[in-house]
Amino acid sequence: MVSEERALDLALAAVHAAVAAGAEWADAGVFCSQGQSVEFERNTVRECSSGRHEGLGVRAFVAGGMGTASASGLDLHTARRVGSEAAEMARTASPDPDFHRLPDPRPLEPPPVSWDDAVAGLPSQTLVEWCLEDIERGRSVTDDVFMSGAAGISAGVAAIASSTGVAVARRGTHVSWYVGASVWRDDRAASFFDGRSAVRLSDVQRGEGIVEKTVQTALALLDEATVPTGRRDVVLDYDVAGEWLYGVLAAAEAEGVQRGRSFMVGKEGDQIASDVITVIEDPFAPAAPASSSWDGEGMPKSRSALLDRGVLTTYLHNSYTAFKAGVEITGHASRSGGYVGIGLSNLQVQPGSVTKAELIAGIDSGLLIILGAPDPNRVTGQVSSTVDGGFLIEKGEVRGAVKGAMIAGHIFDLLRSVDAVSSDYRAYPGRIYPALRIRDVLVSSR
Amino acid sequence: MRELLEELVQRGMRAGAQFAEVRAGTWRGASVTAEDGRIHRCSTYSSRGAGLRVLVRGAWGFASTDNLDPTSLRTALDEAIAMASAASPRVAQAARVAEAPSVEALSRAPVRMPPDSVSLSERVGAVAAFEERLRKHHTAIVNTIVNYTDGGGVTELVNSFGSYVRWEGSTCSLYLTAVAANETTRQSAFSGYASPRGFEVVADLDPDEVSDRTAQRAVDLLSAAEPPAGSMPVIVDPEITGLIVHEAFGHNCEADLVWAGESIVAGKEGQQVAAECVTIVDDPTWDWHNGSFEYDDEGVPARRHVLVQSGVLTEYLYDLEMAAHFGVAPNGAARAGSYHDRPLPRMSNTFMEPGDAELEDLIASVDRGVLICGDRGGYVDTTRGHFTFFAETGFEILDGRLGRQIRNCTLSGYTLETLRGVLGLSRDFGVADRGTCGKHGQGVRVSLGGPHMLVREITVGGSRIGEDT
Repeated sequence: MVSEERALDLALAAVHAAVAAGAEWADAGVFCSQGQSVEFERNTVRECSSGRHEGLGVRAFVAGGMGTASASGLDLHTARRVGSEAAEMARTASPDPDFHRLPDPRPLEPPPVSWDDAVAGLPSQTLVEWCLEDIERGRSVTDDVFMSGAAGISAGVAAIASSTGVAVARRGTHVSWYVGASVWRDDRAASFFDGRSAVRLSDVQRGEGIVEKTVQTALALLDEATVPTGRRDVVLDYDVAGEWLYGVLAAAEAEGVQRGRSFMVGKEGDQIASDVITVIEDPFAPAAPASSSWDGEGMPKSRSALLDRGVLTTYLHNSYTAFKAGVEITGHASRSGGYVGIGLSNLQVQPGSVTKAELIAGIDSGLLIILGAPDPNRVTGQVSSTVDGGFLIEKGEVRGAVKGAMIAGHIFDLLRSVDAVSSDYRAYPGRIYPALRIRDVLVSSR
Repeated sequence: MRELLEELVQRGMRAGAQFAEVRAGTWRGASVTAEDGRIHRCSTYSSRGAGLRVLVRGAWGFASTDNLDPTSLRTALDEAIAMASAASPRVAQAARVAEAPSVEALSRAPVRMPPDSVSLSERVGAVAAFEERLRKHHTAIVNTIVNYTDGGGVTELVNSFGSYVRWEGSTCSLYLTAVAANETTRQSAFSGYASPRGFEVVADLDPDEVSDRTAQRAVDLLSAAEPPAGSMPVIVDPEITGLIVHEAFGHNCEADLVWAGESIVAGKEGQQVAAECVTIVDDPTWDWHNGSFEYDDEGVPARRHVLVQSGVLTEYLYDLEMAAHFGVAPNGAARAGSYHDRPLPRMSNTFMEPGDAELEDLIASVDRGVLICGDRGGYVDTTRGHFTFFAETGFEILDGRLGRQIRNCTLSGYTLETLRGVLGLSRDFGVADRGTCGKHGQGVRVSLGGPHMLVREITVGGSRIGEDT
């Protein structure tokens, strides 16, 4: 694997080639990663694999027209070729009066912990043992379960350089595992899955009952019953609630808003959700896979409340959308090859004052959704979503699994109908996901 | 390159592998995106790499790399061998591969206009023409995106059966999105075209017709009603029929899912799984549609697969390993997303055969229900056989006649209940050549289609309850 210094040198070489070929502005991203993974299926190890991947992408501008080029491989010849091609492509694109410039370098916070030698040096045999452990743990709950899953590690280097002097690089490790449990009884079938990912080996939460709980949940989902169509209160379990709010806030990316293709148009500064919801983005959380002190353009990230007591405080900007809107860069640029988009890092939903059990206890007739976030259509904001895994709530008690239920409404109506956030939550490195209760949701069924 | 790949396979076999395979290739292409009256971005991309796979004492080892120099490839192979060797004592069910005939083949799609033979300015001009027409179709259009991508290259396969296959090919795709808005809502429409051919995929289209139709669909949605909620008779258009056939049913016929216990048709070969009027085919040899190929990614010649004949399950889709497990001959259905991925049993061009009814007669047979049109994707829980699909639009059906247009519909149901509840199929037939299918993180080109299909009952996820449909 190349060093951070070498990655930066290659990024700079690509930028210089782009400028030499006529680009007025250019930036480049370099990546290199290597990893190993082991997969299991039907209670047996299926495959061990390794991968070594490296490449770079360049973005160049001529009169605001944007060209990009990307290639696999990391060598000086490739870097120069890609830089030159990006400049040539930029000349073919249309001038863009909304493009101002690429941003100058800015001071950065100290980088969060992103590397663990224990992960980088983990032998593949340990991954095999993890998989075998998970199979045994699953079968200790019920012998007729089919377990599937994987465990993997990777280590990588990323660097970004620009014609304005941005030059940042970092290295990182990643370790992850997941399990799926499938069970059959007569003509009924059910499955459930869970997993964890982390930067450090010590954070990966092996042996904490997660596998056993996954199998128990699959078993509980076997006994499905339909619920009548009607309006009900709904509790989104920890992960579902976290994924739901992540999807909502990801839709606040400024490019979609500026182009008019987002339900978030005109919503900056508005109360879009109930005032019980506050979501903080923390890109500096230590040892979290999504943490970084700089974004995909090398700009500083910041910790802030994106949703403050239900108010959308800001759109998510990269430099293009920020200059176009005349606002500060928010550090949300993402990069894939030469393409720069907009993305989020770690979300921490602020816990409330009552437990999830108390949220449920306050429901006379409702649903607890444990799988399948009610995501909105990114253009319309309309929600029409299947309950992939859920349980009926009756008189404050969780009953049997629900079959074939769907929930519908507009995303803003659902967000404003959230009346409570749980005090207990699921914590992942960098992320905090409590449960939410939504009142009076349309649930349709067979 | 062939000699190097052969040397690697021999090296793997000498190291104790039961089976060894190397796929390597290079690919290069361009992309043009027009948005809101400008050529927003022009791009080039190139990739290279190899995937090396060995089976050692019942354990698979796989390695991929972006470097094609001999040292990198040998290192990758050695890693695959080492990992498989280390894992083999812990494998509970030893993997095997079915014997496949040795082939030596050059596979080349009939490309009339290779993308790199068309100047970049011509490609840009074509994209601009689509976008301009899309944007100017109606004042309600607020955002337009047209994306064109092409590519071409070579992939080579060598395996320990002595097979050598060289694929030379190209791909080309065009996608259009129009967003329309009024004071109360915004709606979008999407059209796509993709094929393992050349620039003729775009050149043969009429920009005015394609763009006008796409933009008008977005405009029409502004005044459409929200769909009714609940279970009801549903007629789906050929796109949704194709989505049900591919996504809800076809994945269940992939033999690795059958083996893993994740298929609702496991053990049902020879059994009635659908209404008698239903015949489902997966055909990679079908006239170079988007999912077509001549040899699969394990070097097995492609052939037509009849998955369901008159409602009876007849065949699964196999790779070499699953063919060995089920004791059958490989049937040419192993596909890999790229040379960085291992081959898996996959679909290609999957469709339901048409029936003999007129669409009007299907509509006339429904008292209260909906006609649903336009695939917007979805997902399936294969273990439970439950699907969720999103559709662009549709129409209410009341007393055998089409009523108000509806929008943003979601369909949810159980696959076998749905296929057993098919009441009629139209004689018309449509195919969507535009998509990729994802599995285990790998995307492969596919097409899907069928006739209009009337189903006794599917759950529609809407926002209106307690109303007449």
